[in-house]
Amino acid sequence: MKAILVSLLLLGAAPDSATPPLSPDALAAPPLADETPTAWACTVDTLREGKECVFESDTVAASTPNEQQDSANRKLLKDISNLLCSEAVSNAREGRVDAALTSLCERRYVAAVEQCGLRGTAPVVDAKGRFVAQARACYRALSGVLQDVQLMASVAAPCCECAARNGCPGTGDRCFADLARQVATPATLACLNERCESACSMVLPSTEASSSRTSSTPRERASRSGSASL
Amino acid sequence: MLRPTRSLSSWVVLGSLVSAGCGASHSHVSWSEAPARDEMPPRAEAVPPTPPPRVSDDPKAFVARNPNPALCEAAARRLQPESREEAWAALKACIELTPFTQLRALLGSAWTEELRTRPEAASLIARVVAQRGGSVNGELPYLQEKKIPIFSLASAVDRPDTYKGRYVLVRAQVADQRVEGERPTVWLVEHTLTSVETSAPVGYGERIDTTTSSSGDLGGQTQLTGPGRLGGNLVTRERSEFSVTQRNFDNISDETGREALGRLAKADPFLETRRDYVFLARFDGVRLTSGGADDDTEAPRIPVLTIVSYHAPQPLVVY
Repeated sequence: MKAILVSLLLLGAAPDSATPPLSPDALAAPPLADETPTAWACTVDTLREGKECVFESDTVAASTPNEQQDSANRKLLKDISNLLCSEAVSNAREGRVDAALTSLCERRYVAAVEQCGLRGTAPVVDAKGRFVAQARACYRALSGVLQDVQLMASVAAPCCECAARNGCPGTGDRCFADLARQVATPATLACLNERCESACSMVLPSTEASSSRTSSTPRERASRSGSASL
Repeated sequence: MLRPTRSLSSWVVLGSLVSAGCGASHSHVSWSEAPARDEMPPRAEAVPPTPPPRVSDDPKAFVARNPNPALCEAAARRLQPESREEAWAALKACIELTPFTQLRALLGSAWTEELRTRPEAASLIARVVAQRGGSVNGELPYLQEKKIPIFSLASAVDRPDTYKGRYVLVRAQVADQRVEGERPTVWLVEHTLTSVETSAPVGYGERIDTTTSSSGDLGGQTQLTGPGRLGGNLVTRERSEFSVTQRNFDNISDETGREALGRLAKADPFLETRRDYVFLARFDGVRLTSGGADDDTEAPRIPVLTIVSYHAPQPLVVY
């Protein structure tokens, strides 16, 4: 019994380890990963500026849906809709305010926010405003709205304003959408060509090409008829 | 050889007379012959030569004594029985202060334990890879053959869970940088060295162009055919060229298509954009990016790294 006690005492008195502890940087040390977010995290700022980003945050998603969190997520993003839309329009129009386009942007933005609840499984952004990975679809939808609106503001807005003044068909929201996607009806295009040629020159790219195409056809016919006569 | 012996006492008397007449406080240099053996002061005991300074105190002196990288490594290895600390300090000096490219010597059995346990070992290996030209794809198989746990970015991206937290070696250029607080994160574009063949003319060349043109015209009349003409034209062109060209194989750095985010400890003005570096980094996993497909399962993912060290590769590649 005494011998056991003595040996236990000796064991207890011995140093913990003869070798120094292994540095975490040593090749033999266990893997060491830094899970914290980087400076490339997706935030409201990257959303506003349309910058490339990555989804990383300090938040861990819960497995159970939470209705309260869901509505809080949507409300959070809805509250900044006016700020984001007016900024997007103003930046694209070199500081000019466009109430019609801002209103169109907000309607589209609010519709896109519907998919930002995430069923309440996580806050849509963490404490530092970084979008969580589950919010990727939401982020892309909001980003898509802002980019579309910026395109409309920079390309279609002067043309649509002119179209409204001159009573062309398909004005208002439809004009912005159609011109940004270049799917305006022939009647609208004809009207824009006739009455708003200078304001719409950027959104009517096919006018020269189509006119040259139509003028080339008779020439071809003429040459064919010429050769036949010989 | 025998020297003529003179009486020393006359010189001593003369010297003392001269010195007595000079009371100035400057020093004197007076010539005297070698004193007789019995009058020599007691000989001091031979002082042992002072040992060279410790390598860890003066690594440059060690490298100055061993400027050849291979011999430097051998000298460092010889220090191991006396002190492993000194030997490691010597090896570090060899790598950092000479154009050290001896990867096989570094990964030899003599240094296995040091490479396993020293915190700066991975950075030293990365440095040697850069000094060998930075052909990361060419060197990684040898590292893995020696069971050095440093891996490629491609492997890490393919199986993120397996490689999370492990070292990766990447040849890359910095494309962009964003800062949050004190810690910047750079966008890295991975590059690889590929061999490109070119042919350059050497010496003189010859070119011979020959054009021969013949034409004829014959007119006449026969009873059978009546009047007629026969004409013809023959043109022969010949071209021969002779030149001597030399085939060259150049290493071109080209993008692999892989990209990564690299965290830096602090802003570093020496890390330039659009320049190749060999990065040693920890692999922190992959993150979803905002670009690409709408579907999250198809969405592009980018690896995130924590940069441990980076090294400018030498232009000449060692194979």
